[in-house]
Amino acid sequence: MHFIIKLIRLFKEQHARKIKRDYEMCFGEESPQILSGKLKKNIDSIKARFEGSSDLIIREFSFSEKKGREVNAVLIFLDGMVNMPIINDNIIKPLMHDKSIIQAGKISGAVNIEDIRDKFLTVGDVKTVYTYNEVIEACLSGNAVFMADGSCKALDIGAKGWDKRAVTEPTSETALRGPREGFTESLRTNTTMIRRKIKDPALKITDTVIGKRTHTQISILYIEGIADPELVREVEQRLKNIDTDSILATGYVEQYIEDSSFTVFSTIWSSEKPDAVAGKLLEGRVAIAVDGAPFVMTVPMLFIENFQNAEDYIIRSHFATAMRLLRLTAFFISLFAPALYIALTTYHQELIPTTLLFTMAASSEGVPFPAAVEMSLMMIIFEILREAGIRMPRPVGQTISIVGALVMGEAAVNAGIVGAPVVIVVAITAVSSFAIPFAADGVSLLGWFLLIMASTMGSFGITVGAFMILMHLTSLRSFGAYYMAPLAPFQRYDLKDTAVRVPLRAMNTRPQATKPQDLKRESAQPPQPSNASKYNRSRK
Amino acid sequence: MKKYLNIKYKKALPLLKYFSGNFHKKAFRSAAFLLCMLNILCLCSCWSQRELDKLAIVLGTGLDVGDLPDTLKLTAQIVKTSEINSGSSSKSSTNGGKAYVNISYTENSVLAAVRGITHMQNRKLYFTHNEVLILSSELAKLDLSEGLDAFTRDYEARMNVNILISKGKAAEILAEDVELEKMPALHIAGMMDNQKSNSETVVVTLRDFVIATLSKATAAVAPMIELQEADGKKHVILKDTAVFKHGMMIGTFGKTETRGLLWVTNKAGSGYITVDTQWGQVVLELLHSTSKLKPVKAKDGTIHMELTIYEDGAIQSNETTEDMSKIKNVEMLKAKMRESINSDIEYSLMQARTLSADVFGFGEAIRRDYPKEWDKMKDNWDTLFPSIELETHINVELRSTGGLIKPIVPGGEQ
Repeated sequence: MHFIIKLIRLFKEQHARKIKRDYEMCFGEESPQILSGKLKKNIDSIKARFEGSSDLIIREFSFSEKKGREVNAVLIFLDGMVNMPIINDNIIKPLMHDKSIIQAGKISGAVNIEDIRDKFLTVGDVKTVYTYNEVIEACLSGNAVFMADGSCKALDIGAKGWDKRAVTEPTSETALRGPREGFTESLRTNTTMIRRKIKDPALKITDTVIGKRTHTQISILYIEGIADPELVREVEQRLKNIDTDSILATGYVEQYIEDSSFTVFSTIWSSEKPDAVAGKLLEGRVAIAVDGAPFVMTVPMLFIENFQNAEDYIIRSHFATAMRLLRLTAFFISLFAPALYIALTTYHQELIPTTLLFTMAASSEGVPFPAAVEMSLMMIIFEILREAGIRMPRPVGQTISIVGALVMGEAAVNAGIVGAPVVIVVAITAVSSFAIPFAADGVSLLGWFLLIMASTMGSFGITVGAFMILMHLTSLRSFGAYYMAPLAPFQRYDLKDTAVRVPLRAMNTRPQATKPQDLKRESAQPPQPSNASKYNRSRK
Repeated sequence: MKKYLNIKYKKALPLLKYFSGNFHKKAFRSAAFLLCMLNILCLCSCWSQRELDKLAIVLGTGLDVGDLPDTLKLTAQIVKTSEINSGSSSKSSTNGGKAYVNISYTENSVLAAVRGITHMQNRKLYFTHNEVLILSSELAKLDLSEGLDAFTRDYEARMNVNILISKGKAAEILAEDVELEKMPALHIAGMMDNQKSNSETVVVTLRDFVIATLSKATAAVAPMIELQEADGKKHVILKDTAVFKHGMMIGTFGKTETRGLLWVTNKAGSGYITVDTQWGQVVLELLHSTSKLKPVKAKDGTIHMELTIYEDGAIQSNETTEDMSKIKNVEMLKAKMRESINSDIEYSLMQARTLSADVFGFGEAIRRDYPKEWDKMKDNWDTLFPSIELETHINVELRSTGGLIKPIVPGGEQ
């Protein structure tokens, strides 16, 4: 008994010492970073920091203490970034309605703000903060900050609630049989969508803030036990090394952390679809989500990922394989078609079948330009049309495409300015590049490079150009992975998901390129089908 | 200097950071690379570049004896690309004219004539799509070497061009319009592709012809083409085979002899054989045939040739009322077929002996199998060849009676 009393006394003493220390911290040596115990002073400082911002709301009110003494308090938040019902019903209402709610601190003048947090605020996410910077950060991230006179602490109350776009079907990637939801601009919504796909506590979501001015929140997602810890560390390190004041979209981060800037191929994969990103995470990749961008990036990226699609794993493997081959064909067509046409028509006419040569010669009859100039003209016009079609508002964009098609397809040929085969080749190139949207930009640039090579050196030039591209591709790295893997270096088991997509039952290992910790997808003991079942798959 | 560089480097700090490596090395490397690229461009750029509309695409070439002594007349059939319907509506107005133009030039050599045409045409002749090379028999009887050499030596002309010998002027053959094809040369080339289905014409490319000419033993052959008048209209027609020796045309093979030649040289393809039976005519189709020619040395040291032919046939038409599917009739037909093939070969051999021209390649076969003996024979091969005996073994199979078994006889039941 005596012992218990002693213990209680000890606790009380400790508590008093702690409060005293807090008090000294607030009233004694006042530093500009640490909140003051004087409410007026705090409000003034914050007002000064937000000078010129009309959206700052400072709601001053008072509630009664136990002894009937009124305590002044304030709730600070940014208009439009908070959820008003939370502010009204869960913060102000319990404080103002319920009289005598406050247990005054032992030392007079200090309000025990933790008691308010613990007993009265009906809000889920509340943190105690001590400095001005924390208060300001909380306001900027959409939280409300509660401060009371006599306390040198503040409460960061999670009341985020700004207007955000609903989860809609992604516009850049459409699904036929896959999930239709796409990422939004809200980071938490995006990570939640991934979390809902992978219901495993091993899915880790760690946050960092980058951008001296934008304070953009960035999440790194990975599955512990699958993703290579070395890779996660590398991603964290590269993100930490970003030194900029603004991150406005995934592309900003991508350009800061990619292995090589001198390439037209993207070495960081990104998608608008949560199911696609979840699939990549399960392959041992690390995802990077940026607040304010409806895309999530994953690393490392391999060349073959340009031709993979989340849909490939949903549809049956035969068709998926056919689609893969088709996309690879489209890649080669969009890369080589204009160059090959120029090489054939200006250097190697002997390679064109005789009757086709007549037709081609007939259509280039009376065309005033050399074939290479003709081709360049049409390609420039196409690029302009494409750019105009994308940037203009949709109704105008349609007009552009109609005018463009008429001018390009009909009028130019009829007027004899360009030959019909050139228009056909440009059109085929364009359509092929649409089949591989991820690599399309790089491919169209390389198409120009090959066109120049072909128009000066014929098929020799194309060969030289193709080798240069191949050399470049094999020299690329993405977060420790070889870009051309599993083709170079050759990894036999990973070929199952390249030009051929084998049935899912055979895709029992993760790609080695990501160096996953757990290579096997299947469990150690696969469930044995009962032989008695008449639905048994295996035939005897 | 060093100091200056340092200042420069400080200014280039962001760039340095961008390259994030040894700037010296990287800069040097990229400079070297660019220089290499520039070299490639300078050394070989735009060499031999030709625009499509600056080409005179030659489809057929004819060589005749020129009017002046020691000259030859080259006729080139050129595609008139403006007459080809490219599918656009605006050009349809010009349709109706000839899609080709024949240009002739007389000069003392082929190359001189080809270059001479530049005096008449704004486009340079382009020979890679040359499909046929027609030589007049008048020229063939004089000397072929000049024309052959020019077309073989030149890189542009292809070796798989069809060689033909015209009975009259080669220029006239090329000038003869045909109904189904816009270009006469393409018509002739198309005909040559079809000759497998009758096995009555030899199909000879420049390559075959040159190889045969270069050989000491083999006599070169080439199909002949002529103009024939029928129903008041002229037609080009493939007929007979020209036989060459020492680069000169020395004679011809007729239809039967040509087929015999094809049997021996393993070039017989499809075709038909008409067989007379006691009930009437039966036409047999040749489905597939292979033959093998082999020199055999007898015990007394003389060499003779052994020819083995395997032939698959089918009944194509039965003009009799007899059921040809009976075993005894089939055997009878097979015997007749053998007989027919044998007689073709006999005729052919006879003609070859008369001309003393080894069109079958007996000499080549002996050279391969008995080189020592060949060394003794090769100098007087011309006199030895007619005495070489040919032993033929003909194996014939009738594989099918076609879609019918019994003949179509009024009242007869199937």
